[in-house]
Amino acid sequence: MVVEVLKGCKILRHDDRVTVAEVSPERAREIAKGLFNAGCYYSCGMGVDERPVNMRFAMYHVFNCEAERRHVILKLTTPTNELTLPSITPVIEGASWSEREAMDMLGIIFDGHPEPERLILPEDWPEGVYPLRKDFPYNKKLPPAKPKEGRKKPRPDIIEVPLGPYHPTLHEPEYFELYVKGDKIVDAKYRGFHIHRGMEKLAESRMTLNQVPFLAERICGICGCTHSTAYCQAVEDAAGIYVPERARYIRTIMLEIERLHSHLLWFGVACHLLGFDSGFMHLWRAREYIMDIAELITGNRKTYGINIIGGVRRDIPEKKKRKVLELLDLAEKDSREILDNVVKMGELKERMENVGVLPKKKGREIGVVGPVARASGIDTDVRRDHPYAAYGDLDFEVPVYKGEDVLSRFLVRYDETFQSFSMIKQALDNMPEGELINEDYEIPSFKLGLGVTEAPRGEDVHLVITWGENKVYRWHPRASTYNNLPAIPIMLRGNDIADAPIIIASIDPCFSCTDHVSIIDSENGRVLWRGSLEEGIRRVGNGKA
Amino acid sequence: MIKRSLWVFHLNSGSCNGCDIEVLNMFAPRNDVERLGIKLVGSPRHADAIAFTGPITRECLPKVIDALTAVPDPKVVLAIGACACGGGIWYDTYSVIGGIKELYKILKEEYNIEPPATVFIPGCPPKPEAIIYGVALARGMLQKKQFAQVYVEPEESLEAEKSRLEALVREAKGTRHFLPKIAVRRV
Amino acid sequence: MGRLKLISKALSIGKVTEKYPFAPIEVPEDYRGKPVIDGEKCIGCGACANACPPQAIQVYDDVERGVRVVHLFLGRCIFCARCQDVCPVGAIKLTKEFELATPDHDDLHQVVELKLVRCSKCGKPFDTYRHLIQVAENVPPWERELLLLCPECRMEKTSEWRLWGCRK
Repeated sequence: MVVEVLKGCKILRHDDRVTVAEVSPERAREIAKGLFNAGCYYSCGMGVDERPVNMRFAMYHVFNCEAERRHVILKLTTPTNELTLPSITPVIEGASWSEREAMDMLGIIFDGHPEPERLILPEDWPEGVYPLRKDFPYNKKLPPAKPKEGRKKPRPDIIEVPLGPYHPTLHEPEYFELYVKGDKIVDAKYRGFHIHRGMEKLAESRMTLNQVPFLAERICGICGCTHSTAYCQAVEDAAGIYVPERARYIRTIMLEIERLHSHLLWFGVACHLLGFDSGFMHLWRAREYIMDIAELITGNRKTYGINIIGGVRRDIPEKKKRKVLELLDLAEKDSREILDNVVKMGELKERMENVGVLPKKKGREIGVVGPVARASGIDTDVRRDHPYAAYGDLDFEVPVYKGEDVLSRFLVRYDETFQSFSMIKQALDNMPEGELINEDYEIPSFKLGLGVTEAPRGEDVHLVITWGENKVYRWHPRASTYNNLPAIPIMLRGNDIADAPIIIASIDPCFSCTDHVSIIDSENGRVLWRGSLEEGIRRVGNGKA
Repeated sequence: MIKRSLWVFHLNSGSCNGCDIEVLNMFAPRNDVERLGIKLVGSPRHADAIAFTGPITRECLPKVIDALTAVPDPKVVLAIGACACGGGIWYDTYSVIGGIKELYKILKEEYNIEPPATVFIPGCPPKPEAIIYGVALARGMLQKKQFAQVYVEPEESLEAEKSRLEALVREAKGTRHFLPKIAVRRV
Repeated sequence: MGRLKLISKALSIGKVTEKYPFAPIEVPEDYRGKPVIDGEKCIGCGACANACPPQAIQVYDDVERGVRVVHLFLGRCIFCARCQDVCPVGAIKLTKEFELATPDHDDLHQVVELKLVRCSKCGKPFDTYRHLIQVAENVPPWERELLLLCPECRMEKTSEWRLWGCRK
């Protein structure tokens, strides 16, 4: 199927995981549309300054083709010494942010983009300076420039409520303008990018290949391990590095432990939002066992620091394994008791049923991932569709619910939690003996690699272009919240304002992930709001907002 | 610094959430800092202390300064995590100010504001217990344990090293010399 | 109904709150806490500075005083233990210490100063005694000949050899 669509293009790579094709700009829209019709959804896009290599800029569009279990990467290059590329946003809505990102960071001009506005850089950033170009030094601190004036005309019947960036409901600095009519939010404007830390530039300038996993881990404090795994997988993919079996198992165990801590954290927050604080306290108590396990294995509660290119850094010896199993049993017993109780409570059920509905068709169009997709009846899971680490050897089920509402998202996570417990046990039992790390590798120059993992919130995609001399040429991480956020306005429509916090929380938003380069806008999307860290959302639920 | 209950305002200046969750974790059953009179408040005007996380991104800077100056004196800043203490892993990138010390520099130079009392809590992220320790330090409940360490190579060991190195090099003098490869290869 | 069950659950669990800070807590064996440089062991090779992702460890030469400075700034440290992995002599170790809070920024610094060897030809300080001893012990005697020369002089010397085709 995919091959037929790509007929006539130059195929740069074609194996059982990835297809890379160079597409001439004129055919870009036609092929993108063809891929979408063939059942692929838009995953992410990366702009690259390839001038040191071939005097051009390039844009890589990644499509995820679940039916064929492969990723398709389209490479578009600008003509020599030019900056213009055709935009594929008119045919694929999901590409909008990626293209605006490339406009901001590299100065590529996308012909035909519906709203070519600044997205990522701060307002006081001078015009015409593009930080991801190779001639921009990563540590150059520019003096602030005068921001452009540009304000929308206020509408007379609607009240404007500014919210943030420091507000009791927000724990990450984000700014909103909510447009309120009576009790209902009719529109909202979002200004994010407060957490843009210049990570991608840092990785390709100051850091060496083996330092980046630690940077990737700090994209997000909750799901950092999946990011570092995805980065390592991308480099291993580019260089064809063999990862020892035991290392794959240990990675799997850590990823599942991370999923457990993230899900339990989410359940606690959801309980709180629904006005059930004892549930919150109980679940966070049960979560402490998981944090203890992480601390026991890796030496830190959150930033595991276990991944490195070619394997892992720490072993799980027999003594630790027994202790982990002990703690795991305690945690499973505790969380099962508490969660069973929670699920059975009629009051909670009523607040979640038929709230925040995301229809399956719409979800597919936006390209939602992870539990949000699975709760809308979309059967997708990277662990099963594109097996990585040791997931191919484990026995697990992917829960899919057809309710399309918040309750389904709750139940998907509920099932996943216990799947994770069983997966960790299986992995611990079947862990083969052997080496932890393969250090015998050579990094090729200018080679593209793709790493994909299933984070607690959905699919994480990392694209890496390697460079000799122990460096990366370009690294582009895409977090799962990036794909899920556009679904929020659809979920919010037609709901009470009192349900807004739980609807927003139901996608388990992780904003620092998304903001590492930052995203989200809401111009016509009638978005939203962007609550941030759980605590913030939790307080909205308290009615303190 | 402050002897009574601390009310804390949480100020995130662009951190990765790791520290923020550990701050939240302090209020969960395991650590439960409300027993020490510590409470999260929603407005900087109500706060005695600021739980400061993140390396201060360029976008956040004016807003952070506003929030910081809104807290009434006397105040304590708890700089939590590697980012707040020293800028963290991204301390020198184009969009990061680089930690609370740099912020104080800007405050002093541009606004003529003296830096408030600060407790630095390193860690990435620090354990909840480490944050509690920092809070206890701010309340004067404990003594600090962390001190600067300076080691200067002492003279006597230097002498021994000198003679050892000389002996090793002298050994080389008596050995057979090999020609460099390029000269050995005959065309 | 469920709520009542949770009450009985809470009663059966009892008190979970730790006494900390009034009583010490246990941390696991491999906890990644405060890194400590053992000045006695450190040879000033700079491997840690190369590996450190946030550049919390910096190694630089103070030519005027003729010392190499290994400077660890704990405030920026991300406790990844890469320095411990790469240290060839095991001089830097992550301890179990986590109570690092301090009101004074200066407390967060660790400095090790090692004397530098002067080049036997040009007199420029270029490497520490300890590092040179380490190198000398690990190579066969005939390769130690140019050890006391700074990199530039060494390069000059080898190119001379190549030019003449023999060692003079």
